[in-house]
Amino acid sequence: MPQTTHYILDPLDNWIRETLDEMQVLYHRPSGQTHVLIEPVPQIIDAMLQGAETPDEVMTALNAQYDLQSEEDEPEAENEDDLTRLTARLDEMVALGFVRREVREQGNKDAL
Amino acid sequence: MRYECRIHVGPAIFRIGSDWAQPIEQLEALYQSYPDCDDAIADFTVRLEAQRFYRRWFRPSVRLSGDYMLPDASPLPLAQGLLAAEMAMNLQMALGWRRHLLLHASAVERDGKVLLMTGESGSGKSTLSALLAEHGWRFLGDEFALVDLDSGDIHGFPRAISLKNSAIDAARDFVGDDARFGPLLTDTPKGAIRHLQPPETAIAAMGEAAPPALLLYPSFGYTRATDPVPPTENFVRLTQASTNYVALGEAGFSALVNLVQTVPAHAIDFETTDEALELVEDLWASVV
Amino acid sequence: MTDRKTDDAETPNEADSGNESFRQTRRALVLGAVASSAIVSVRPALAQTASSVLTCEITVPAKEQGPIYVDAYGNIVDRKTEGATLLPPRTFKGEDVRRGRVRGPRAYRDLIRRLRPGQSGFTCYASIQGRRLG
Repeated sequence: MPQTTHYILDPLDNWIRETLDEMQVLYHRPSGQTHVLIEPVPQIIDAMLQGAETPDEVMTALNAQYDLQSEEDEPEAENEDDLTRLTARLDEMVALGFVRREVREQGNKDAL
Repeated sequence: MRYECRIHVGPAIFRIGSDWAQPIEQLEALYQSYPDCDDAIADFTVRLEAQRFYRRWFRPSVRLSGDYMLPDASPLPLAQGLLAAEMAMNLQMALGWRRHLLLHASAVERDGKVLLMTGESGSGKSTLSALLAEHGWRFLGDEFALVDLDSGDIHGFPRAISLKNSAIDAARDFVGDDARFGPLLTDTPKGAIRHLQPPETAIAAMGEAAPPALLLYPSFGYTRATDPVPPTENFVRLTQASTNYVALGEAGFSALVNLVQTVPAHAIDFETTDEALELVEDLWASVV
Repeated sequence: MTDRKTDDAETPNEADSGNESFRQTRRALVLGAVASSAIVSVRPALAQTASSVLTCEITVPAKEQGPIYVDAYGNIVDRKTEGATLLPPRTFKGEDVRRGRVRGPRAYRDLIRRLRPGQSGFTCYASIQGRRLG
């Protein structure tokens, strides 16, 4: 059965996010760590707060609001597609502990 | 300890013990105008000890110890005992203070609002605070500014001002009263050092906190210029200018977010004290 | 829920002044390369009293960038170029970089500007720039 990876934000009372300028700062209570969030991470969190969980869902939400662009001067990243890049950002958030990854069987929801 | 004194600076009380009379006498002279606190409970204890018992007399050398210490603090010659005591007091604050968010910054107050100045050693933040203290500003401290975790107000830590190298002569130009200077310490790990007593009015009012209105990153020795520092950059730099940001957890985060959201920050470059005064007055006029 | 983003959007600040134009033309969003990073974590400052702690440093070429070859004018060139010499790593204070005081061959300035997320020195560069570097 095909699987999808879901990315689940930590419960809302585990973190505080503040907008300072085009960047945000996030304090994560369980780890006591402060993170500076650079584009596109604030926008991804916004999408997740709207209910997006899989990379596809997050991508759809971002595409609805933004023109996704590549950065110039990144020759090593020429062959990467947007979904791969977005997943890299989500995995970064997993590594810092405020997002958790969950692999689900597709259609499992319907079966339940 | 054979010799002992207590020093009350801002909200902190230090008990300083020494194997020798000289550093204690020098401290008492330098801190003579500070409030009497001989019966108060000390926040920190600092000890200036002989490295070996015979080193009390033979090539006397001061080993520092206290409630909070770095493992690699090297002993200093007795002639630099005053510097040793000051370094130890700073270290207790940097490592042990938890009641406020502690920033490596100098601070002065006017019109009920505080001007913060931060930057690395040699940036001119210490000299600038001493200069402003002679030009109508209340001196709050040249090393640490304490951010109130609830109100965001700045509490002073107006210990004796530590002037280094060329700043010593510069300060003698703008401070008329020779009696306010401590002994000249030469060949210290930081070069030549001379302490300056803050104005008595500043010491008398050292318990009065006030809200911050402006934060400056001074750079002495560069062509006159000003440059705004955006909030996130300011936030990151201040986390690095604070010794207890991480230890304070969420309280530190909230205090720092509030500070960078409400207080504008600018980098200022200047080559002379006149330029510095002008730049400060211009920027101050734009925020008050 | 303590996400205060929505509240803050009502207070005027520099970041919000562009919001009007964002509404009319869709805003560009850069996802960034897989190998890059878009989150900078705050590390505890070392407790120091001898000197302040505002001393982040950038060494270029970063180990991910090098080796770098330059011509006689200090421009970055291919290693096979005639007269190309290896550029020795040099360390700059974050503050000097921020104020445009990078001395020496222009290759150093170019290399600092080319630092990408995930490369050594980028965190310092990002913090002194205070914005996404593109």
